[in-house]
Amino acid sequence: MAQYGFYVDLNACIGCKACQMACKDRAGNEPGINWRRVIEVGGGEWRQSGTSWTPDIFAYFLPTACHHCSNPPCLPVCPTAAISKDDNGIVKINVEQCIGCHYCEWACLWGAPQFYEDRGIVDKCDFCKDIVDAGGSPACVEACPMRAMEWGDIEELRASHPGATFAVVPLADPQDFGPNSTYTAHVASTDRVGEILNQEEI
Amino acid sequence: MNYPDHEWSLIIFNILGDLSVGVFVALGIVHFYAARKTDAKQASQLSTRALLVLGPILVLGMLAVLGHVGNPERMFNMLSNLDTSWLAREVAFYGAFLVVGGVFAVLQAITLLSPAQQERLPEGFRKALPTLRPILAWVAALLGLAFVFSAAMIYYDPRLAARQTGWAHLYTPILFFADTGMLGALALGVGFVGNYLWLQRKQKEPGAKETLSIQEGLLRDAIQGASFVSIALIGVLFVTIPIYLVSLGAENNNLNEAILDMLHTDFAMLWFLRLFLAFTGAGILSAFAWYLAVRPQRRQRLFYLMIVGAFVCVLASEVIARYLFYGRNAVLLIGGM
Repeated sequence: MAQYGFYVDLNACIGCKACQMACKDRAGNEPGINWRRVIEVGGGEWRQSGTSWTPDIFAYFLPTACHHCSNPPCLPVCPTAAISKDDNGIVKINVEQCIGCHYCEWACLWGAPQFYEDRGIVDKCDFCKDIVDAGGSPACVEACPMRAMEWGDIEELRASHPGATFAVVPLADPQDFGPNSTYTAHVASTDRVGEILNQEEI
Repeated sequence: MNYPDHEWSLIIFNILGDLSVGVFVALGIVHFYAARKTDAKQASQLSTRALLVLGPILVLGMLAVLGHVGNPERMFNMLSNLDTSWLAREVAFYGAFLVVGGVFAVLQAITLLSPAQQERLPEGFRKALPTLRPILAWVAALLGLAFVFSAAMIYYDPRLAARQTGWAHLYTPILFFADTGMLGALALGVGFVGNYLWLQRKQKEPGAKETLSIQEGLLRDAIQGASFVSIALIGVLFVTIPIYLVSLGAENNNLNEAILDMLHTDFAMLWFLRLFLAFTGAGILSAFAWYLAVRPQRRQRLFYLMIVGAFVCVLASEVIARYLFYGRNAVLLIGGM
């Protein structure tokens, strides 16, 4: 049994948000609901050399969605047993069972489950399960013009990208949840810590 | 930063639930004490009407919580994951408390019927009542306490600890149980005062004078107990709150910083009001009520006013406390920044 996951090369991502839009398009999500989000991270300062000041700044983009954790915190807390993990490790919400109590939202560290005001339920990235089961690739991966994203067995992804990690700013410390996303960190972030620049948008 | 204005349904549900459990347990203790000091009839006169008020309060709480969920018509789905979800357990215990407590209340209400009316009930049923009532009362009390515990565990749950640092602290269960105790004791005090005034109006009935003087004694004893409980619990809370705040500050992370920042900026006034009202109600007014309760001939009206005032202050304080409690969750952070 595989555990599916995502890999993103943050050096290749240009922040075009095609993945975000492809996801919205496929899931039919209204504005305000984003199963995949692209976080803009940046920082830096002005440096003085002699009498002149020059900007020493950096920025990078970080696409994130549900990490289909090995030990997902959302799953056991759900009172309706609407959340399940399938043979491929995909964590899915059964929206017919969900009553929209928000509890999974409180448990997830990365804001993956999102509430639909109009339908009164919570839903999130399902790894494009229908497409993947039919032999295709998730919409976000397919849409990336930079080919920065990959999907597959997370162990294989980690093996084929040495140095890939989940420890990238601004993703929260995963505790023992075992998120199944991995990233090649942006070169600018190896010695500097940026902050989220598009908080309003995500 | 968002204000938790969308969580009013949860605030109302939790307060009414805790209050009902507190009143139920306190009633049990008072009833037991009154039955030993006087007799079962007097004890029943004191406690049964207060018991009957709990039903509508619990139903109101249930209606309030439906405002929180997106699909209330699927509410029974909430019982599907009792194995691992504290939320499912909370709902189950609340429902069970409502049903068992309700049956108990109906059986207890039979004591208010006239002897002639009671005669009409089947004999076997009448004989079973003295055994059945205490069993149901115990079961309902345990279910109620299990509800309060589960409600606290929803927020204290270690699986939420990574995200909800403001909740994953021993302060959460202490807050919930202190609420239950203080609101329960003081609401019962108010209920008893109401009950006593109602009996006073029926003074013309034969034997009413004697009943009234026994009831006044019981009322004063009950208020002494209620004041003592609320003073003790406000002491516990006032020791816990600084420990909670210090431990939030000691663990240096963005979430804790945001919570502490909220408490001395946007929520500073509410936080002050919460502490002020709790101290005034559960501390000062309860102490006065206790003082007047141990001196029977002192001012009746002032005595009643103290108990009602203490309850109103504590209720207002607890509403603010729960609002702040959900405010600590409103710091929505993606990825911990």
